[in-house]
Amino acid sequence: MTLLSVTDLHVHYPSQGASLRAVDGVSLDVAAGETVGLVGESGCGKSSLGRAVLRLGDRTSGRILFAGEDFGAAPEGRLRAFRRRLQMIFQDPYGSLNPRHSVGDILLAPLTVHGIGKREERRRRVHDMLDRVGLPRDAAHRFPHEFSGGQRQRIGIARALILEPELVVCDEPVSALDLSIQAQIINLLAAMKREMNLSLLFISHDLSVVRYVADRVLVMYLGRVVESGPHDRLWDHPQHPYTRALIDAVPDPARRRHASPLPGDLPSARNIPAGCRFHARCPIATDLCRSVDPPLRSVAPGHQTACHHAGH
Amino acid sequence: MPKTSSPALAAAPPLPATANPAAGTPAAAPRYGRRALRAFLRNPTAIAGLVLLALVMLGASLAPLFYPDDPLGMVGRPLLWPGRQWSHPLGTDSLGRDVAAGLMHGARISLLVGFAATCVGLSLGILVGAVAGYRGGWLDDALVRLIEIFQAVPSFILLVVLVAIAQPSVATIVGAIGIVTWPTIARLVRAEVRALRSKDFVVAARGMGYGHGRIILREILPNAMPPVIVTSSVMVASAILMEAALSFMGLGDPNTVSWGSMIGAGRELLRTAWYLTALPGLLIVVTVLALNLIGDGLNDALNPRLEKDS
Repeated sequence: MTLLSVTDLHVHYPSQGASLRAVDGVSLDVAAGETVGLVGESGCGKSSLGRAVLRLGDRTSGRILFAGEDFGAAPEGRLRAFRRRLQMIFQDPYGSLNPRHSVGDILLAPLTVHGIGKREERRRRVHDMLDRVGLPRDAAHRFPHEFSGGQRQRIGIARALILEPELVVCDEPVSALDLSIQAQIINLLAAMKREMNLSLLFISHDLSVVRYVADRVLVMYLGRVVESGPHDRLWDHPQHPYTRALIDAVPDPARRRHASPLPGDLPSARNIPAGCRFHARCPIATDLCRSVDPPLRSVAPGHQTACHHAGH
Repeated sequence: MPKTSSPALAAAPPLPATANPAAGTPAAAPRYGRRALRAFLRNPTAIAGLVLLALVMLGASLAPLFYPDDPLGMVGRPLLWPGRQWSHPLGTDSLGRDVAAGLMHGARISLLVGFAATCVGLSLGILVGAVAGYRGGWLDDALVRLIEIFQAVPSFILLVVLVAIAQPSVATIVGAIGIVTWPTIARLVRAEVRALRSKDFVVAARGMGYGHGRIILREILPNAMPPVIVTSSVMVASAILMEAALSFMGLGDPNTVSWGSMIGAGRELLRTAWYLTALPGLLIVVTVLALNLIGDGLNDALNPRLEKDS
């Protein structure tokens, strides 16, 4: 069953001259209980997409359906009921927690605002959640600055999960953490996902991180999805040259493949290239790519790519 | 920094330098407010300011005990110099009013006006600044214009006009000083709120479904307070100065004695009886200095950029 369905989402930031097209027509579905990974280099619009999906950032156009209801068009007064079911985990474990509130307050406030339980039950739920994310119970009386980055991210996860949401958007949840901590946090997310039957939209610039958690992967380039497919298939048979470059770039001693970095930088989202938006950096670009924008098309069941040369 | 990210993704955001887990050792670090208070109390200039202000406050609170009668009453021979007569230790003015009684009762008015006017200015300023900064859009534009209009008018002239229209009394002076000073606070609060509004923890609060009132009052304003607290201590000082200036010009409350009105009354005798202006003048200087020292101390304690490792 499709839990979240986003159709033709655009996020354009107006500015002098051409507007910045951070997200330029993205459609995606997240099924109940599914983890969808969203990868792409920074500046490709994945964070804008994540926030727009939760109506926490700007959205120029696009439909957002959540559990069959039109979340995207819901008036502000009706958002609160949705908010409880949709949550977000942030990249920066320092900036995402209010330094003036104790951890207990941070976890208690969502319950209070949504009128869940009586005082005693709320306290019990806070303690229960602290246990589940692996924090000591006395953490409730302490303040965010007393914790390390990894512990703070656990607090952020606890806050997102205390309302027992159905979908959680994780925006680069581990990229601000040390490698050893990254694994712990990913394992925690995976465990919570199983326990609570969550759906995750997992945003990361790091394919090797997404690899551990995602059932399905979307690869984003310059505001568009250029390839999407089940994670195994994408990993083994990447169709888009950009996906291939991302996979090649992941260090893997077993494959001993030589990583040839992509030439050039991500073009400006203010001035998107004509034709295929990847052509300037693509090793196999032809004249066709320079003039015609390839649509997303199916190359195998559940596997789509936006490349003229896919399958050849 | 863990190097799992590939060269192709080298444009990926660099890990923030703060991502060092050692930054938050679980050692029992006291909460922010208590830490700031401790830093404040360890600052010798701040302590000096507190002591001076406490002395002025002590004088003000003991006034009815020492001089239960109206300080405007004529109690002795006029123009008695300080130290000549036991019953009037600081002498009397040209109408035979006790200077010491005037100073102590004047301290009550000065402090009352200083703190009350600051409260008025703070309430107005925080309300306007928070609404403008949080809402943005046309309301923000309109409120910023309003602030600019107030700031474009010379504040003391506006103050004189307001008090002259409203009839001088303690209440109208408090209100008028509040009306003159709120734009400073509004600008400050607006800038802080605008900066905080896009912070992740505020986005998170919206994502939790918190109402706007809760987000402003519980998430944003507590974090916007440090510069406001610092500014308000200086605002008390400038309100005291404004009240003194008004009273000096004869626009003070005619039924109460104030330091400014004492200076105003003594100015014609500046050459023969200079103590009539010097003593209240000295008290104004001491009080304003004390408040500025406190402001500096608060700034050091609350401003994170200057915060030393403690």
